[in-house]
Amino acid sequence: MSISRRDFIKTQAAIAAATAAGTTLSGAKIAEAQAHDDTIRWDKGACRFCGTGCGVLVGTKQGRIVATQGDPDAPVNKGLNCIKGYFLSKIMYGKDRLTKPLLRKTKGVYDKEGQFEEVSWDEAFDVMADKWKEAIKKKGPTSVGMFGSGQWTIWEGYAASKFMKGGMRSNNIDPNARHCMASAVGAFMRAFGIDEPMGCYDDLEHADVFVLWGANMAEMHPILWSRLTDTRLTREGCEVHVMSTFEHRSFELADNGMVFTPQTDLAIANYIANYIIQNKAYNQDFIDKHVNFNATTTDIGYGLRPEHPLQKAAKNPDKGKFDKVTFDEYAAMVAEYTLEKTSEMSGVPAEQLERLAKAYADPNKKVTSFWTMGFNQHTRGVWVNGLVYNIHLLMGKISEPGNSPFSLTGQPSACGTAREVGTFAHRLPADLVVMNEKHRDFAEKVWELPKGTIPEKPGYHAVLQNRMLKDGKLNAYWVQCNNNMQAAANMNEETYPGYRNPENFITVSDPYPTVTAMAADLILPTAMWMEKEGAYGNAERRTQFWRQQVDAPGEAKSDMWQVIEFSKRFKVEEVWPADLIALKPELSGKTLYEVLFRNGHTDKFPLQEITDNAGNVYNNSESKDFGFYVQKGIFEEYREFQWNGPKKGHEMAPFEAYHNARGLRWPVLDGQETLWRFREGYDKHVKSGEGINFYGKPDGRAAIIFAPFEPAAESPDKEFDLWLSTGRVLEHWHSGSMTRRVPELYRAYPDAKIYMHPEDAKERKLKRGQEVKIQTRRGEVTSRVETRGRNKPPRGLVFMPWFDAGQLVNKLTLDATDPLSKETDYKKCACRVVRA
Amino acid sequence: MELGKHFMQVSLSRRAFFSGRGAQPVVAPFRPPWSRAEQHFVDLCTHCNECRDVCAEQIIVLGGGGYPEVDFQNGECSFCGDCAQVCEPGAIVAAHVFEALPWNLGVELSANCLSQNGVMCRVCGERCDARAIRFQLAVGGNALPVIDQSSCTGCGACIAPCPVGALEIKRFENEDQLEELS
Repeated sequence: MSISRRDFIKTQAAIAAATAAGTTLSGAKIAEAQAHDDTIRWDKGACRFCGTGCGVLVGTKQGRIVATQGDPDAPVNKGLNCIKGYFLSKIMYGKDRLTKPLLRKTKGVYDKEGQFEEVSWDEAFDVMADKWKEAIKKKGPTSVGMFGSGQWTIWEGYAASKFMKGGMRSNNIDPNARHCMASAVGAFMRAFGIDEPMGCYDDLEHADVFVLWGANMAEMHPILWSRLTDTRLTREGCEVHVMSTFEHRSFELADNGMVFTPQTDLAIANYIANYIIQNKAYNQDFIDKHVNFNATTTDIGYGLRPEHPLQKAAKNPDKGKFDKVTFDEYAAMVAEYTLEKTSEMSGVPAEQLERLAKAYADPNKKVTSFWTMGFNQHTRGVWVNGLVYNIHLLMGKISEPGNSPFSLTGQPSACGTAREVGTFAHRLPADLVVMNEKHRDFAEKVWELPKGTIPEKPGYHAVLQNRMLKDGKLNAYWVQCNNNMQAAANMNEETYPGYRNPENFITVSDPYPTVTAMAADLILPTAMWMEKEGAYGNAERRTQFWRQQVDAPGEAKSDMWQVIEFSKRFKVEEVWPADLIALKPELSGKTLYEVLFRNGHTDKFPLQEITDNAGNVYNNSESKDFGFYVQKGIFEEYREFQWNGPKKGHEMAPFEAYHNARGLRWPVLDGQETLWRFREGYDKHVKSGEGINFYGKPDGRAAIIFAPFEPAAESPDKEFDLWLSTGRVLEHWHSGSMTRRVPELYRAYPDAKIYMHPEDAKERKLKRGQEVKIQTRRGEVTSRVETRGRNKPPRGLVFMPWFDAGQLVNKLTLDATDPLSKETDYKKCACRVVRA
Repeated sequence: MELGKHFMQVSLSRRAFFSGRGAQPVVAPFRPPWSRAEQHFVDLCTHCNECRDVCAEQIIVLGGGGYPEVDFQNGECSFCGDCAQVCEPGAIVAAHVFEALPWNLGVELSANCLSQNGVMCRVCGERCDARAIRFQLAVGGNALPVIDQSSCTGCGACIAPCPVGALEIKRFENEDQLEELS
């Protein structure tokens, strides 16, 4: 089948609409009936969707999940749910659930231009393994790669990372968290030398002032928003500042709502630092003891292809180096950002900016800052994350209840899996990196591999993977647990061509025929969420486990099963050079399965019956298939990185503890979780008398790093006269592959639309509800105009959500990335809107 | 919307409805907007189906006895008046008497409502162009729906999207509508 781009997009839209048809009985009525139904087995679990990490009770009857409800005992959500979480029980039961591997074939054999046909797992893996071996033989390990997920469970990410880095000897594994949290990680590493927030959700009940920088918590983190709302309404003097490039639902609670010109958040953050310094409000004692000052290299480009004019024009492309400066030098750098100048740049009235600055500068007010994609999906994302740390560090407002710079997370295990397990192209478990020889040595020791197995050079990151697929340098590629054809920016020019490049073999593992799956050569049916034993880590460092509640339909298998099973297809001789095997001759002749998993170490825990406290018995499909307790073996091996590795601070409790607790926040030391890190009395890593110790850094000091305003990669001009920002809506999760298959959620928000200022619509002679074309230099999408409702953009900016497979907004977005974090800016490019 | 101003007319029965008096259980089907009182409507209607065919929103369907009725699961009434325009026998009253309210319908929220049960959901509020359903932030953190019946047009836009079917269209005492025209 010759599938054109247009065809597969059309097919996708039809599938999504068809599966969403039909109605169901009222959810509340079901829940009510089921509360009295003692044939339902209830067990604790974690929500499948966002990074909040709500606890849910999962109700199972006759092998099917029939209901879920907010877990009243879960500390995160205390029984509350958002509308997505309420309908969790339906995400696994879409009518087009994949249950058999599908391979493109013509006349019985694999053909990239063929039609999808059902095949056995054996045939699927035979063809796939051939392609992988062929690629490695021709071009070496850099020709194979994997694109994973912040929705992988902890052990799925660990198994995939070990397989790729320790087995295939390729660092070309990256998670979709690259699109989401990479800028946050970069800033944590630069400022603190260790990833993830120092505070926790308890800050929501302790702060006097909340500041939202590029986060619409009311829709994207609704449960955390409810906690924040409660504090605002009940705590005397509590105030909420909301900043965004357009007005959204979180503005309802704002005491100080500010709509700023895109990219000028860089200026606003520097102005606040300047205000603190000009007014001598900074915490001198804290600065003297716990902080050093730096300035980062500037004019670093926009992470585009090297031949792109913007990239050529940059003086220091991709440079992240920062150098020590004095306090006075730092003060002089921020001095440029006066109130007048910042107000003019940002379009925010001076008195509002000053009110915000005063809140930060008031020594008696506890301030918690929140941000998500507005900061991370930013061509200066690492910088702007860091600029907020600068403010908190100048004031010493950090690492204690209510004083908290808090980077919120988008995905359920972007922290737990992508970041902590280290499934990025440059990372290893527990904050280690491939570039560091000691770190590689340690990983090879734990994994019992010969020295030199793990390559030193970071692999291709997410955006680069697509470019390398297109350029034919990455040829055997495996996508698990994400929908990158709908997510990656500039899909027309940079994603689709690589998938359909005749040189490449693309495998996509998914429960549903997503846009990405339809663009693949081989689709593997995947067991999802409660069809496997799982573990996620949320944004407050909370690790949560669940038991396998039901079996997967048909032949669907979990991502971890797929990786481990696939590893059986490779003998070390087929993927490693002879001199490497010679260092550990006992490995010769073995399969990667025997080397990586069935090695007497990872498989040391035998099969066991899984039960809860009530005596209910649960299945564990993967463990039964492989003959050992896989999840426990992997988790305990991962703990060796945390407890014996070269970096402290990531310690977790033994496996069993998590099946009993409603999650625990690491580091878990002496059986106790840690709520606020780096401060004596809260964090056991800080010794008595130290007060504060930023122990991720060798000198124990956090880094204040100056970074200036630099313009966006693309701004509106005469031809493309509007800013385009993209994002999510409350009712749908990410690309909608799950939520659009829940009839209730589909009906609640069926199709994407483009939010526009009424005057901008009028000027273009557009009416509300009218069909329009949104055009950028990269592509065109048809949608309908919305001039009312939850989002109210200012003149000159439009907002469009990306959940709708029938309106692929990533055909419009620009693949400009933060040169430091390699994360794409999905919030800023130039577009025009015309009548369809 | 030109017709909007007419909805601002004071409606005694509407007041009674949201003050808790006078709400009636649904018995008769919902006829198209500006339909005459039920008895006159069925007397006049010739089952020509013109009103159904002309309805751009496709909410007019054939009901019991072959009479047209409105099904809000199909969508919302835009009050375009096309159904009244095409009604030759005058079962639906034509445009010249549009001074009257199109119907005495409002919405009622049942205890199923997700927002009132600890679930963050604001679907109905998003759909309500008349802004009769608003969400108020409340202690405890969830936003709760508040329905202002005096601005509700009974358009039904909130009915189908509600994920749990918690909203119902309700009719109330017909005092000041089209009775006198019969």
